[in-house]
Amino acid sequence: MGDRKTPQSILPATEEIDTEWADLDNEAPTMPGGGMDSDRPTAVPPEPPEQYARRLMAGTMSPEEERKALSQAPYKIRDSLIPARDAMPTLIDENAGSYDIEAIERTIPQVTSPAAHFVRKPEPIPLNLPEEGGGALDLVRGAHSTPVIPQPDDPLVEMRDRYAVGDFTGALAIAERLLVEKPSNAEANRYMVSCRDILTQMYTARLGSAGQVPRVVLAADQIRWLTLDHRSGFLLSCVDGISSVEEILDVSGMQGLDALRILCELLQQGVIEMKPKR
Amino acid sequence: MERVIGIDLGTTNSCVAIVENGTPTVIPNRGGYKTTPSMVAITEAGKRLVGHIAKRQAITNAENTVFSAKRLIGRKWSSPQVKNAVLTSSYRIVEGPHGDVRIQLRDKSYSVSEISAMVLQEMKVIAEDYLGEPVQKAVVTVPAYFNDNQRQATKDAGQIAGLDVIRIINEPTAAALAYGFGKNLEKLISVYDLGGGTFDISILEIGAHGVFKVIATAGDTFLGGEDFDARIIDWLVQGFKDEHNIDLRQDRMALQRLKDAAEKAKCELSTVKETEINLPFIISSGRNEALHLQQSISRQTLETLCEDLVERTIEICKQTMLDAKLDKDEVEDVILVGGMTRMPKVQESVAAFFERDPCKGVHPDEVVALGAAIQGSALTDDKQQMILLDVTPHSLGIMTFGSFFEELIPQNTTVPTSRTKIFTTSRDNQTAVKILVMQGEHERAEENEMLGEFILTGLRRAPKGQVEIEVTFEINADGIVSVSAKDLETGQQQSIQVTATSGLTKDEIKEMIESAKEYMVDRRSSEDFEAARQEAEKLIAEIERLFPQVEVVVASSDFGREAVNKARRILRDAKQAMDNRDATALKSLIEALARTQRMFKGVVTKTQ
Repeated sequence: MGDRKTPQSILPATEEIDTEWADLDNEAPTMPGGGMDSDRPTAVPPEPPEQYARRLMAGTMSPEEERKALSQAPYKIRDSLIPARDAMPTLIDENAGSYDIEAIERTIPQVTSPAAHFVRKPEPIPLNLPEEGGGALDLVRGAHSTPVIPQPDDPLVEMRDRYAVGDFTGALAIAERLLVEKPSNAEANRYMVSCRDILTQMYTARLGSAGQVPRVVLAADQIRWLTLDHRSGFLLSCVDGISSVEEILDVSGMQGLDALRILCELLQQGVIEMKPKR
Repeated sequence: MERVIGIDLGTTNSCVAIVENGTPTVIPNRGGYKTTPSMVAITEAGKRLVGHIAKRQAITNAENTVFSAKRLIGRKWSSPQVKNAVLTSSYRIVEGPHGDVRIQLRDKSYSVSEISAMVLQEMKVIAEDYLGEPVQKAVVTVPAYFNDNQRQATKDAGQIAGLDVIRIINEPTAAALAYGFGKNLEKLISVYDLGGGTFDISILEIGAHGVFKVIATAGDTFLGGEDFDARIIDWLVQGFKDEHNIDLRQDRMALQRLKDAAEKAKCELSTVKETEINLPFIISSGRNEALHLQQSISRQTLETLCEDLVERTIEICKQTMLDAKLDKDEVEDVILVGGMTRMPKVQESVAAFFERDPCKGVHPDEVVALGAAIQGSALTDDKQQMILLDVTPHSLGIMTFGSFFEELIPQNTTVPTSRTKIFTTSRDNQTAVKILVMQGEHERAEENEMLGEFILTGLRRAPKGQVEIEVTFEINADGIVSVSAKDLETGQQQSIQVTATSGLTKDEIKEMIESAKEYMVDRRSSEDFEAARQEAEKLIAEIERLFPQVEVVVASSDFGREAVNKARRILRDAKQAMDNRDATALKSLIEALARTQRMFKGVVTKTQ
């Protein structure tokens, strides 16, 4: 951490999120503790990333889901579980006989936030901030005089905060919950659309592209021992080694985002691998 | 010589074939399969799916997936078959503007010909991809019992798909053609066709000079392989319910998997005596855990489950032979058509009924398409001696007093033809008669298809039976039926020209053709983009892999830095083009990417 100034526990607004990390000019993004310097503004949680993510997700995930999500966090590579070479959304030599785990880790964003994975800058979404004094910096500055304390009870605030720190899954879950309660909630709707768009890009990027063809790499008797739900089981049954991701989304009958997420999970668990379409 | 493809447009599966260097060949689709499901679906995103991909989501997207459109083609909204389909179909069938049938998919309604056109278009694409050239002409098969309107609707479907359907032929005739190809046979054969959704039995006479005559045909349009699948599904569902008290039918995803697995098991049991159905994570129990379905099924079990279905086909065979006044020993060979005839039990039952082993020389899935291709080739090749005759598929006649059907032109009459009969009045002082032109084989007029009607007026007032009216039916070479009625005493005459109609106007067909063309342009452009993207992705991956090494090597020189910056720009532009789905831009960058990759490889190789 060095002498880097740690901000208060105020979450950054959209403008502060760096979406350019995937640019070839730059290395992987950094977070405190990541061991890499960067002059880019970053959100620094006041606690270790894993603990931070756990706290953030606590509202939307069951303990089991949380455990699963954290076990799949991209920086936690366990050889026994993840065939990392294929699962990693990075530039690794397909033909290399072995791989350098440290090199892989360097290419992986060391944050728990899914924001670290998207490759295209998300469409900025208009936040309902006042004309004056509503910018992200003002929000931080304002904290000196009138401390702004996140109100966990207010789902709108939580949704914005989660979006701002790149927890798009969490923000989406809240937005959808809000829309169930009040379908005319324009802000929730905007967040929902934006989150879906970003998550779709993220998941697609993790899978390589929608034209890639997933192939089951585990034997049928091994698959039975995985912890999958019936939706994952169904999607896995659609993976035939011929159909592309796009085609699988078409036949799944699921929401595209759900199907992409499940495919990403299957990829991360080493159940499937991605190949270019022949 | 222009290529002519033969298409077996089936109720559940379609197949396309061509004659190449004198050999009829079935063309596989992109997935390598020789048959393509006759299914069309529209996804939530509005994307059109045809074939296997449509089948794979048929249950999860049941409302927007059309199957068995052939059962509806050329039928009127008021027909009993349509009424039945409205009640039983998972997709929405609505009335069209001309009393025809339309299918509602998402926010658009499609004519049945349009849906069939989508399948035909897919078959055309399969053939074009295989041949590497555009295909325009086709011979398409239809069931022997199809009437003129159904045949015309099939022709319209071909036209919408961008095909010139040069001939419509009967499926059993096509099968017999393939069976007799190059053999110069003269014999009576039976074609037992048990497909995915329908069963047909036909008795054909293969005459001299390549004349194929359908002596009798019958069947069940709701009996096929899908019924066999359904029995396996029922068995699996019941077993699972007994074990877990969960009804798998309540979950569409589970049902889709069951359907696929049942069909697969059924096919496997034609070659092995036992197979395993393994569906992990098929459903979640109430306790937040997924359950697996694992079940062995034997051929014996399948045969027991489907015994009555096989028996039903044999009963239809029996009745058809009786109706045709034929003895079993008169049938000299039995051809098996349709995937279901691979089932050993079916083969045994057919052999037992006809008291002879069925012919093994034809491929049940391919024989109809092969026959169509043979006919297509014969139609365009003057050297081939085969004479193929157009015949009327059904009898033509008029309705007479008491709702009886009076036949003028019998079924299978070679066209062009003309027949005349004298009729008389049925009431005293009758001054007008209504001529109802009908098509079919049933003696009750209402059981047959009405083609048109007209009234002949100005008859002399006379006691019934005294006024003579001459009715003439004429079919010209184009299949257009003209019917005239003439009062022989006064010479008063009225006539009508009956042309088969699919229920679509010319303008509608024209519009649909345009729409199909647009779809093809979009599809081809999308395929172009996909091809370019795949190539670009490979190159980008390779360049990005080499990048760190190249950067280290060239860091010391200005020229090297410039080259690396240029490579970055190319990568960025290529990624941008992929994001924008800009095929033209991406194609123009492929060469630059390839150059960069070669350069990077060279740099890395030299420094090693």
